[in-house]
Amino acid sequence: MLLAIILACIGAFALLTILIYLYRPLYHPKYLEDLYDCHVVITGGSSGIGKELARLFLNEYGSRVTILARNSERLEECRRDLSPNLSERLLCLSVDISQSYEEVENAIQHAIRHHQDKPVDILINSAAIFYARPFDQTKPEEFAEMMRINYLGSVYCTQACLPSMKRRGTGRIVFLSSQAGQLGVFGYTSYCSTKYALKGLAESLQMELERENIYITLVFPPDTDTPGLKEENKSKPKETQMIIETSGLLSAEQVAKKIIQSTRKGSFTCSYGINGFLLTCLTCGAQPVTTKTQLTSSIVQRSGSSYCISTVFIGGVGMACCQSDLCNAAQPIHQVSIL
Amino acid sequence: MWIIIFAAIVIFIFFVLLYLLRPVYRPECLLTLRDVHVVITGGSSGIGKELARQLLNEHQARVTILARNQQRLDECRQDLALGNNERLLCLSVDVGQSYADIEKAIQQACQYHGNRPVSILINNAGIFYARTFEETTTDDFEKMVRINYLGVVFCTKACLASMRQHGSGRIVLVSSQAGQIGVYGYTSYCSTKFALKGLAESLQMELVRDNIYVTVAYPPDTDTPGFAEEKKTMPIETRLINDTSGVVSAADVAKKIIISTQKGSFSCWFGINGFLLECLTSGAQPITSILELISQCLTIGLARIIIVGLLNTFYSVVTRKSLKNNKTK
Repeated sequence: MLLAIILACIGAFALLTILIYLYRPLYHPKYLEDLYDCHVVITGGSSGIGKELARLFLNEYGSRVTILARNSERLEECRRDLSPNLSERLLCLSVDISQSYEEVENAIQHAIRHHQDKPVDILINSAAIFYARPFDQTKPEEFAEMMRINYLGSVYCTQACLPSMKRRGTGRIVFLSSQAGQLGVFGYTSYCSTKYALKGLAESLQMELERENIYITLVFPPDTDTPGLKEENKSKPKETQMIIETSGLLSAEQVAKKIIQSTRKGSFTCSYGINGFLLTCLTCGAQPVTTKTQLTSSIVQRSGSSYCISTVFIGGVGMACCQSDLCNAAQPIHQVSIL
Repeated sequence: MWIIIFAAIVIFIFFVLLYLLRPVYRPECLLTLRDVHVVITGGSSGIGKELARQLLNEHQARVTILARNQQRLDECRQDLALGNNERLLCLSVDVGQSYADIEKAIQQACQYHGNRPVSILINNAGIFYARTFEETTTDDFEKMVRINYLGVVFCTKACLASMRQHGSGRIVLVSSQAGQIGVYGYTSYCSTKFALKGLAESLQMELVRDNIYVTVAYPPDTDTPGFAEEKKTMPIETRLINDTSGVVSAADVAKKIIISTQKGSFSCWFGINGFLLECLTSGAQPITSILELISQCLTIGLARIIIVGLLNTFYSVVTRKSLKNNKTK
């Protein structure tokens, strides 16, 4: 009897070892120990998460930072705030990344020359616009604009930085998505689509860039305390407000810190808190893994529990939307039956 | 005694869970599609054409096809419209260009079909080709976004008003298995198809109170003229990866899409690969039947193991190709 148990344990252990070998992570990005003098390009770096990232890179890591943003005034304020002594480690360039690829390419080349011909080591695509608005209240041009800035802008910047990363033989590309890039929410039809598109881009792109030693990180922050969020809250639909309240609010600094950690590790995803962890396991789908813990946790989590939680969440949210409609005293002709 | 109490508690918890996890909405199954006004974009060839064929011949629906190429539209009309002349309307419009054009086309279609509002919109128009990220020009990226994503948004917006008036509707987004998993060579295509998923999830949350249901279809490689064209320029890495999956006929794809639309299911998958991918990437999708939830919960962990194994294969295909290229250099 005891012998049978021992044999079973050994067999199980052997099977586990074989499985761990077969399912070892696809690639092992080298941990970036030293970020001193690393050339980091941050789009949308003049405020919010981008600005906190720039602050941390400059002050804590001694990197060389290039900020690309549209609004010259905000860029100027940002420059004064981050680098009052006008350090040449910080370069702020006013460029609309969604307008034309040539402009972006010129800006990147200018930045490389400024930073003593250092190719781009890390590209952080943080530039984005966001607002919550129901589908029928969002104009066709607004859909196009959001796609241009949130998605095409990231594409252009990535294409512009890739040649220098390839020459260097290494690189990190970060795409700032959102928890709204993991699940669809009322009022975010245009925003969710652009953030989901970044996920599709990241998964395909990583498959192409793995052999170049360039690693992609997708970041899924929840609501973050930034000027952008304050602006968004002014016009947020009630339904969206009720749903978002279920998730917390983080400071831009907390978000930025974790982004830098994940980038150094070359992790494919970066999520926040227990909600973020559950959501990432739930929606990891066909993402690559970079550590064994990611694989095991995603398998164990996805075996039901997080799935059930999200279904309850979505059920609750669906009801919130229906109730809100009733609250608006509209007389729906066809009521959805809530059994 | 204790066993009975324990069993009773388990059964009680089971029923509580069943209640909490019940489907968030129950679309009415569209039993008959006779005289139902269906708009199909990109309906002049491939999957769209098969959909039109089946809807016209097997379901006696009224079909409006929107497509760009006038010549292909004419050929399609000749092919489909034997004896169905007035049930089929073909309009030449570029869905990615201007919202105003689409709105006009939809209004024209509604008027033509005896002032019938649109009951089912099938967003099938899409372009696809496989090309590496660096070889894809900015124009390519923009064009793909315009047609594959913005075209869908514009058509959906144009049809929504009449669906709301009618008090019900079905919106189908034809995505792809490349909208569930990112693959070498599909950076532009995958992004647009992933975007459709994000759109569908958010949109369904907004439309549930209007009795309008969204279906996302994820066909694998389908035997169509578009696919034949794509194969000509496909990078070899993409071809090797695609070969792991099969090719299905457009008729089979169309059949399943119609069934899923009738049921109002949120997703429509094809074959065992499709089933696994769907469970794997179901993420935060809504469910329309408890069976979906059970099958997804049970297979998710296993599906993740399988897909990581597959990804290992894909990545090594890509790396091997690179080593080969370097050697020949």
